[in-house]
Amino acid sequence: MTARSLKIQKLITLFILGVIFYCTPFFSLFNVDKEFLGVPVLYLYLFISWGLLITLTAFVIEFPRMKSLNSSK
Amino acid sequence: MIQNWAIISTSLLYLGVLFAIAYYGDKRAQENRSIISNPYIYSLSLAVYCTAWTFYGSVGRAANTGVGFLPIYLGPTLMAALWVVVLRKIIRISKKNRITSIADFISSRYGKSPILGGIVTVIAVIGIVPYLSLQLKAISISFQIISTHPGIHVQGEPVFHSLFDDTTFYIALILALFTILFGTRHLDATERHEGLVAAIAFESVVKLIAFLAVGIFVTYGLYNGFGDVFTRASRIPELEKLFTLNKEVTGTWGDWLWLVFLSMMAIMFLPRQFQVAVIENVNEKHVEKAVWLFPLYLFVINLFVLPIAFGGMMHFSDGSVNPDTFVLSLPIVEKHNTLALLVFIGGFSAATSMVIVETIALSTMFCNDLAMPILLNLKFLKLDQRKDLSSLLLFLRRSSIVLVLLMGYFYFRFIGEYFSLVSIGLISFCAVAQFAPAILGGIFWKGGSRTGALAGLIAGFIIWVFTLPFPSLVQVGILPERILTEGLFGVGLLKPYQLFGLQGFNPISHTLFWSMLFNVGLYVTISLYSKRSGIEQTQASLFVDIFKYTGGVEFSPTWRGTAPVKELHSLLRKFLGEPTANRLFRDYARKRKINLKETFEVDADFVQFAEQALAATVGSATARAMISTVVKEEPLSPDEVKSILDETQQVIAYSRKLEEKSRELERATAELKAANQRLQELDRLKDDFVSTVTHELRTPLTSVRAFSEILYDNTDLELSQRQHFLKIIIKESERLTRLINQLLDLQKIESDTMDWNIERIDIVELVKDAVQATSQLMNEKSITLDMNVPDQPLYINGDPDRLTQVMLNLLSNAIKFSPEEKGLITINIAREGDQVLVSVKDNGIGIRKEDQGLIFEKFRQVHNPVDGRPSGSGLGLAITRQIVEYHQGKIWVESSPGLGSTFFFTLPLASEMAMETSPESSEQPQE
Repeated sequence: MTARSLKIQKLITLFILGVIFYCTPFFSLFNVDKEFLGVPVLYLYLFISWGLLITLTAFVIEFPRMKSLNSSK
Repeated sequence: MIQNWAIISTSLLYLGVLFAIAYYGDKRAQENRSIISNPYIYSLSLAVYCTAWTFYGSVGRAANTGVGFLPIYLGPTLMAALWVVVLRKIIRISKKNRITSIADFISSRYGKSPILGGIVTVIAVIGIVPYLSLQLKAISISFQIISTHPGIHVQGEPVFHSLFDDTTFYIALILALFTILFGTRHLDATERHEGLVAAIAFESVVKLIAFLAVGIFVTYGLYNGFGDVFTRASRIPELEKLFTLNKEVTGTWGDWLWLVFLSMMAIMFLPRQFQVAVIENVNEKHVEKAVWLFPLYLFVINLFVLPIAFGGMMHFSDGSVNPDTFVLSLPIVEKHNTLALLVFIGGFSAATSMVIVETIALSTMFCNDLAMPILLNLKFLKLDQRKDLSSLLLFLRRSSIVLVLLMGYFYFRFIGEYFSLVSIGLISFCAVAQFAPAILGGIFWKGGSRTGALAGLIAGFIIWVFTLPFPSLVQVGILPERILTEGLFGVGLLKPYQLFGLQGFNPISHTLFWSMLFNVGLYVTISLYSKRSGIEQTQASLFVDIFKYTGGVEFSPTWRGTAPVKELHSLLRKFLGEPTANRLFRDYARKRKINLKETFEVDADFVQFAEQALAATVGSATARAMISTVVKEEPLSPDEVKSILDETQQVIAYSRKLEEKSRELERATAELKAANQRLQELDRLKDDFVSTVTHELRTPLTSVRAFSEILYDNTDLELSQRQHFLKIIIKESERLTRLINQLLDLQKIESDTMDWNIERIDIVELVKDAVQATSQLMNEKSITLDMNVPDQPLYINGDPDRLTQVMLNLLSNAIKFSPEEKGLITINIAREGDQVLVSVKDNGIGIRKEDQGLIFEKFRQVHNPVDGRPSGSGLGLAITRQIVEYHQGKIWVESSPGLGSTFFFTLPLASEMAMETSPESSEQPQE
C-alpha cells in the first residue's frame, strides 16, 4: 500500500511539473522569436519537455523500486 | 490520379480486415482467450482520441495558429498522470455498479436519477453528433481529393451528389452494420466488446503508421529534415509569425491555458473515451501502463504536424489548398500514389474508429437513458404487460445505432459544410466538459447532490448552446446578424460572443469560462443547500468510498424487505429474456440451497443482484424504477445503510485480524515446536553431561578413597609406600580440583557471569610467559621448543588471565600428546591484517579428521589411540574456544594422524594497532 501511495505521489508531482511546463509563466521564457539548429525554440521546448515528461512517467511506473537517492540499501 | 474503383476497393478491403479482426477478437473472447487483455491494446484503444481531426485537422490548425494544436494533446498527457487516482476509481465504481455509459454513471451517482441520465444523454447527443458528422465529412473530403486530379476541388469542400450516389452514405451504413454486429452481441451493455476493441486498436496502429509515413515523406523527402523546413519557413514573414505564441496570429497564452484544461476534461469525459477507458477496460491494472504509453502515442503522432503544416504552406503558397487537407494533398501533387492511398486509409481509420466507438457509446445512452424510460412511461404502449421485452430492447439498441449514425450523416450533409474540422471538435469538447463537475465532484465529494448536479449541468449546457452552436447558426444565415452585434432581443449583455459584456476572449475560452463558472457554482452551492434523499446519500458514499467498501459488500443495500419470486422472475424475463432469467434464479437457488418452487419470496440480496443484472442492460435508473414496482420495500435510512456498510467493513476488518492472528499463532506454534525439540536435545545433552561429569568425578574420588582406606587400614606401611600413595591422593585431588574449576569456568562463561578484566596486553609477552610456565613440563619429557615470535609487541584488548589459560591449555595438550625425547613443539605468532594469528604445533599422535570438529565440544575426548583411555577432563578445549570466541577470535585445528596437530587461534588487534578494529572488544563492559 505504501509503495502504491508513493507511486501516486510521484505521479501527482509529475502532473504538477507538467502544469509548470505548460500552464505557468515558465512557458514564456521559451516563447521567444529565436531558432536553435533551425528549429524555433518554442517548438523545441514543447516537444523536449513533453518527451521528458513521458520518460519520467514511464520511469515512475516501470521502476517503482527506484528509491530516493539517500537510501541505497 | 487514382482510379475510383481502386480507392473504393481498398476502403472495402480495409473494412473487411476490420470485420475479420473484430470477428477473431470476439471468437477468442468466447474461448476465454482474450486478445485485448493487455495494457498495450488498452493504450492503443485509448488512442481513439486521435480522430480525423488529429489526422487532418492538426495540420490545418498548426498552419493557422502554430503550436495552437498542441494543447489538445498536452492536456491528456497531464491528465494521464492523474489516471491512477481518477480513472482507476471511476473504473472500479463502474464495474461495481455495472455502469453502462457516462449518463448511467452520473445518474447512478445521484440516486439513480432518470432525469439526470436523460439530461446527460441529451447533452452528449447534441454535443457529439456534430463531431461525429465531422468524421464523415473528413472521409468524404479525403475521398474527393484522392479521386480527383490534383488542382481540382483540392479546396476541400465536399461536393454533394444525390444521397444514393454518395460514397460517404454507404460508408456510414457499413459502419452502422459493423457497430451493430460487434457492439450489440449481448444485451448486457456492460459486457465488453472485445472484437470491437481489437479493431479499434488496429485502427490506431494504421493511422499512426500512415501519419508517420507522410510526416517522414514531407520532412525528409520534400525537405532536408526539421531544421530545413523551419529555416525556409522563417524567411517568409507570415510563417515566421507562427513560431511563437502571440496575440495577433496564434492566440494568447490565456487561450492556450483554456485549451489545456478543455482537453484534460475531454480525455476523461468524451463518451467514446469513457467507453474504451472504463466500460471496455478488462483489468484495472492496465491503466498504469497506459499512463505513459498513451501520451507516448500522442507525442509520436504529433511529431510531424508542424513540418507538414509549414511544408504545405510553402508548397501551396498561393493558398489554393485548404490546410486541413495538406496531409493528403502533398503526396498527391508529388505523384506518390501509394503513399496517398496509405494516408487516405490512415485518415479513414482515424475517422471510422471514432465513429464506431462514439456511436456505440451514444446509442447505449440514447437507448437506456432516454428511449427506454420514456417508452416505459408511455402507458398506452402497455409495455409493462408485455411478457418479453428483450427483443424489443435489442431492436431499440440497434436502431439507435443507425439513428445516431444517420443523425451524424445528415448533420454533415446539411449543416456541417460550414465548419472547419477543428472548430466542431472544440465545440463538442466544451459540451462534454460540462460533465466534469458532476463526475469529479461525485467521486470525491459526498456532499454533491442530485439537484446541484442537475442545475449545474443544465446551466452549463444552456450557456454552451447560447455561446457556441447558436451564433454559428448566424454564420449559416439562419438567424439574423443582429444577434451577434446587438445581443439577443437587443439586450447588450446577451451577445453570444461577449456574454455579460466579457470581451477579449476567443469563443472557446469565453464559453468555457462562463459555462464552468455557472456549472461549478450552481453544483456546489445548490448541493450545499439541498436535502438529499436516502438513496442519494447511499450512492454518494458507495461512490466516494468505493475502495473502502470493495471486496466486502456485494451489493449496495438501499432497502430491506423481500420480493415475490414470481413477479421478480417475470420482470427479469421481460428484460433479459427467458434463458438468462432462469439461469439467474437457478444460480441463486443453488447458492442458497433452496427449492424455488416452494419459495415465495426472495431476500434483499437477490433482489439487488437482480437489479444490477437489469442495470447492466437498461441502465441503473430504469432498473431501479422497474424493481421498485415488484418489491415490497422498506427503504433504509442512510444511517442504517451506513451502519450496514460499516458493519460489513468491520466484519472484514475482524476477519482480517483473525487471519493475521491465526498466522501469528501458526508461527508461534512452529517456534514452540522448535524450542521444544531443542529443549529435548538439551535435556539429553544435560543427561550425558551429568553422567560424564559423575564419571569423571568418580574416577579420581575412587582412587582417593581407595588409597586413603589402604593408608587407614595399614598403619604399618613403609614410608616410601606411604609417600607414594599420598602422592597419588594429592594428584587425584588436584585433578578433581582442576575438573571442578573448569566446570565452574565453563558454567560462568556460558551463563555470561564470568568477570572479564579486559585490558591492553601484549600477546607476545603473554605467550612467552605461558611457555615459561610450562617449560618444566617440557623439560621432563625432553621436548624441543621452537618459537617464531616478532620482536615488536602486538597489542590486543583482552583478559590476560583467560588468554594465559588458553595458551596453557594448548601447550599442555601439545606436551601431553608429544612423544618423549623426540617431541617438538613449534609456536608461531604472526600479524595478519588487523588480526594476530597464534599457532601451537606438535608432532604427537595427531587427530583424526572426523574428530577435528568435535574436540572443541564439551566432554569430547579423543581417545588415546595407544591405550584407548581418555586423558584429561574433556573441558579444556571447550573452555579455550569459549574464551577465544569471547575475544572475537576464531580457533581451529589442522592435523593428520601420526604426524601431529597444529592449533590456530586469531585475536583482533587493539584499535591503534590495526587502525580501525572492531570497537566491541574495547568497549566490552566489565560485567
